[in-house]
Amino acid sequence: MSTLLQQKCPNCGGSVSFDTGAQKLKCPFCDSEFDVEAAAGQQTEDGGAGAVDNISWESDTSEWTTDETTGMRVYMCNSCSGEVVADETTGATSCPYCGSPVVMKGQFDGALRPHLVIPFKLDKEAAKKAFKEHMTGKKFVARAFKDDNKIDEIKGVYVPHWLFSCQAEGQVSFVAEKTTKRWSDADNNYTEITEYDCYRSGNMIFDNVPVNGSTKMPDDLMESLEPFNVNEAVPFNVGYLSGYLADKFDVDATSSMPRANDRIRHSIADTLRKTVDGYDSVTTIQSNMTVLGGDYKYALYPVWLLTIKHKNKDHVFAMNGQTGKFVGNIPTDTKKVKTVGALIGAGIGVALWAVLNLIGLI
Amino acid sequence: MKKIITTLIVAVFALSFMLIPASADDFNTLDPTGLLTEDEMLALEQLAVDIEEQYGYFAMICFAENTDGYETILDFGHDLYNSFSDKDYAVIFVDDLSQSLCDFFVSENYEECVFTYDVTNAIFNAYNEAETYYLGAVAFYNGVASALENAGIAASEETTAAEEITESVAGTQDTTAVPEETTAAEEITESAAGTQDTTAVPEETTKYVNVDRVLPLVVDNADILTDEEEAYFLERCQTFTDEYKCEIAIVTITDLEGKTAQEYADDFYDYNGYGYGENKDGLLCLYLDGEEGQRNATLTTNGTAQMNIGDDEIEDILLAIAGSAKFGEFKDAFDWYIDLSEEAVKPVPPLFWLLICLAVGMVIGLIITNSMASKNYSVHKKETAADYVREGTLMITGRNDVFRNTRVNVTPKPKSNSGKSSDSNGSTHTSSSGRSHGGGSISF
Repeated sequence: MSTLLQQKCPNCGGSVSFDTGAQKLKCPFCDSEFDVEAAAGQQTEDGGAGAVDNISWESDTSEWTTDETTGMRVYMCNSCSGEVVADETTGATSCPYCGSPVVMKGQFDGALRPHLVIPFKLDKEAAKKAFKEHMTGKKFVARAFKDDNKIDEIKGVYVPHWLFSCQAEGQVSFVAEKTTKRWSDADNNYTEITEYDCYRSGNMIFDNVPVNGSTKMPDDLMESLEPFNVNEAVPFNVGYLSGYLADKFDVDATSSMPRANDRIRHSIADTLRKTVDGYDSVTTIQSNMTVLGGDYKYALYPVWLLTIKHKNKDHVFAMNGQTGKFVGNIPTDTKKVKTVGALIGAGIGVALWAVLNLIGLI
Repeated sequence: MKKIITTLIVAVFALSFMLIPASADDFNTLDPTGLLTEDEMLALEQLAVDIEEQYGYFAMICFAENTDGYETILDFGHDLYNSFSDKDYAVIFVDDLSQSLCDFFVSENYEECVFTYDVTNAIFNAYNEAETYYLGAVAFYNGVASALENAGIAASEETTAAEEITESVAGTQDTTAVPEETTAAEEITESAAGTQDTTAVPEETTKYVNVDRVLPLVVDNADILTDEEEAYFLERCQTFTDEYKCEIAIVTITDLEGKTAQEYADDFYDYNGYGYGENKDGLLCLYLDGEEGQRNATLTTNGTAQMNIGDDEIEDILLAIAGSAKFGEFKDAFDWYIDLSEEAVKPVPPLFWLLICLAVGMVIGLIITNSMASKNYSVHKKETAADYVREGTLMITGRNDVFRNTRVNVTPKPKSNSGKSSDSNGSTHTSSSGRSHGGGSISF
């Protein structure tokens, strides 16, 4: 589910939106600017939802308030079944994931409320520019991907993430080998190899390991956008959503835990592996991991999203709305790759043949 | 009649004692009737030795009391040659005192004949004009030396050195004497005249001999080929050589003279100047005739033949030769040898190389384009959470390395028989001349 919430200007009542440059809410009608917190406070005074601080999933879980959800509408994509949320004045016309038209499903009924949000720091123009740069110098790209008109369809989306923090302790067993002696006689060469059983244990603290909470966003695409700087995250406030789509998680924390565990386990195993030094080869035999004091938060990450349909397949490009990192697999014209490769190869082959002839090797 | 035969036998017997000593230590000047003094004999001997050393020719003059028992003086000279000369090239002058008749016996390469009618006639005239037998002998030796000098003949160093060895194997025919000393580290580029009697093997050789070939491409010392077959193979070998710029030769023998077959073949090839062009490209098949189990066929290859004929091809050729030769079908055997060698050295069609180059180019081209296309993919799953480790929190709480066991890996060394290596098409070895050869051997 994506949500686009429209805040009202306290001065003129017009719809305001979040300005990424000023990091404030701005009214396009009276040019008034407001701090997000102030605007939220204003709305609180007006009976809106309270601010969320120091959220811990265990203790600070909160639900959306009615005030927060009042102006939000849920739109559903009939093509991919994705739900997007937009405010009642801006609305949503197309699905950010597949580009298909969406229809309004009704008023948003809030579930779990995000703890954190990383506000967009880069605007749509920056995203469009990044996309153009991303395409620059790429070979064998289908013509449709170079169509500038598509770039205007790029959308800012807050993607739900679960952030896992913990102290992880690992115990890993290795078998390590090193060559300890070499000699030879008339017939054979001999190599003496000594094996060791190596054991390492250690612990380290992980902060905010993200796991994508939306099935509509490919996990590898979101992980390719990392890292996000969570230090710049702020407690969630609906004001940050103004002007953007927001997606509601459809993968819960429990379902996301295995992925977080997997990444943490690999990290600690790799770290401990690096301490087994002085050997020619090291093989991991067994590893165990214990998570101590783990907690998780629900956060929204800013992502600029562009979906281009090519040959009945959606190709999703994304830009980290905080750092500007742009990723996305560009569909490659394999026929073109082979044809050009063959032509280059023929040229190389003929040149090689000519050179070999010239120097008399053939 | 019986009396005449008995007289002839006695005469020949007596003559053999008078004129044909069993030892090769005798003088080159034979004077059974005592026409010369000892000092004159010594002086003439020096002239003969000088000719051998400088030109590689065996020179002899014989003042025969008579030549009874021989149909011609030439036959007598031939007998002297067989008895005294260990060289292929020789000039022997016989003066039959009883008949006052003289004649020359000459053995040399018919293609580079030195002692033509004019030359021998001039020597004879000089001999005839001399006032004494000694001066006549001097005129003979000087005439021989002058003729050889004018013909540009020179003895190779190993030829001279080879004498010491060949003397100990008197009676054997030419070929593979081993010099005790040689300075053949220097390339021997002198004319090959006079070298065909040796495949001398220097003890300390660091470079190759580089002489011109003087022996034909077919040398049938074992006499297993008919004259027609010899002519046939000579033509085939020459055609092969001309077409592929790679000399092919056939040599048959009955005795390895203490060498291995491979050594004999290599030395025969090297010291007799086989091989095409500066690189001495070519191959030689040595067939050792003998009883069953003693027969042997050996190939030696050099230059382009070494590059083109690998171990597998050599094995095929040797098996084909053995398959026919063991039944006495030598024509088939050597036909197989030439046919299979032709298959191996036949140049690959230019189109084949073009296709190979195109295939290599295609692979390179596709690697290039795929590498370029790979930049289109930037989505990758993250395996770890390394970006989220809080700095300075890593604590190693346990660290223990315990010896488990020791094992020994045994890797056989690459086999290297007689200095063989495998840096060419097939395994190679180095001959006594220092030249790298390919080849193989089979006994049957």
